[in-house]
Amino acid sequence: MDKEIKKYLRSVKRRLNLPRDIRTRLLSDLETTIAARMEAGEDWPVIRESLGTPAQVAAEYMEEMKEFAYRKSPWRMVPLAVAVLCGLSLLNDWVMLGLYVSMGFKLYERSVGIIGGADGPTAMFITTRVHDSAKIGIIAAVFVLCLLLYFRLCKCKNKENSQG
Amino acid sequence: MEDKFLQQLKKGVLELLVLRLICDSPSYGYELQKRLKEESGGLFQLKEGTLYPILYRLEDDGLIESGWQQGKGRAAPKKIYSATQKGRAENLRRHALWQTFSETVSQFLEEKNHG
Repeated sequence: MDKEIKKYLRSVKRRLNLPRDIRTRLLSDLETTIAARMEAGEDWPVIRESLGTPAQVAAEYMEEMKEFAYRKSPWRMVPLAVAVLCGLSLLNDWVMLGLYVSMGFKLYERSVGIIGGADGPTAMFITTRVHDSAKIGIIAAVFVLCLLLYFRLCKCKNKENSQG
Repeated sequence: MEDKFLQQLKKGVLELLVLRLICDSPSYGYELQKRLKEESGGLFQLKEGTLYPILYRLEDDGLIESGWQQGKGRAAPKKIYSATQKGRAENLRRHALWQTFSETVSQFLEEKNHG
């Protein structure tokens, strides 16, 4: 099939926010129509003109197939929130790491953070590990998992779909 | 922009007409568009984006089924729709329903005064 026609069909396909099997079926009808019309002697530019732009064709489909469209689950905000918190925590670790390193601490040291003047009455000592790799590893893993979950929840099948 | 009321009316009978056409003779999408337009005197000019979802639903409901027809020579194969047993039965049922419905509505409108 003509390269232009394939490109056109791909453009329509990209814009269809529908489950794969439905998309395939709708596109096969479009393919057949284009083939039939070319057989009947019509030129591709003429056919394309009457079909409309890929955006228009896709919009017409989506209008008729609304109940099958993928929807974003409202639950997706939960993993997103967790991911953001993890991300902030990781960012914080990264910044603190940089800070400690720049202050001359070696990464494997148990470091002491000091609030207030070191010799002043308000001196407070806090102990924190400079580089707690286990904790960071776990947070990073949770971060990635939550992001994946978020993107998965952005593409849910509509409820009525499941009786299909 | 087409009259909204007319649009609604058309929308209500589209499936009925498409199913009927397929029961009369198996067809592919574009051919159905042509037949629909010709046999309705131009009243029904469906765009692909409207017709194919209808075909999808009819197929999903088991009223029609699709198959690929080999093209002659080097022609590309075409996706053809034909009616199933269930589809033919449903087609008859819908015809009868339409008869009753349209008669009732016509009668209602013919009444001189509903006051």
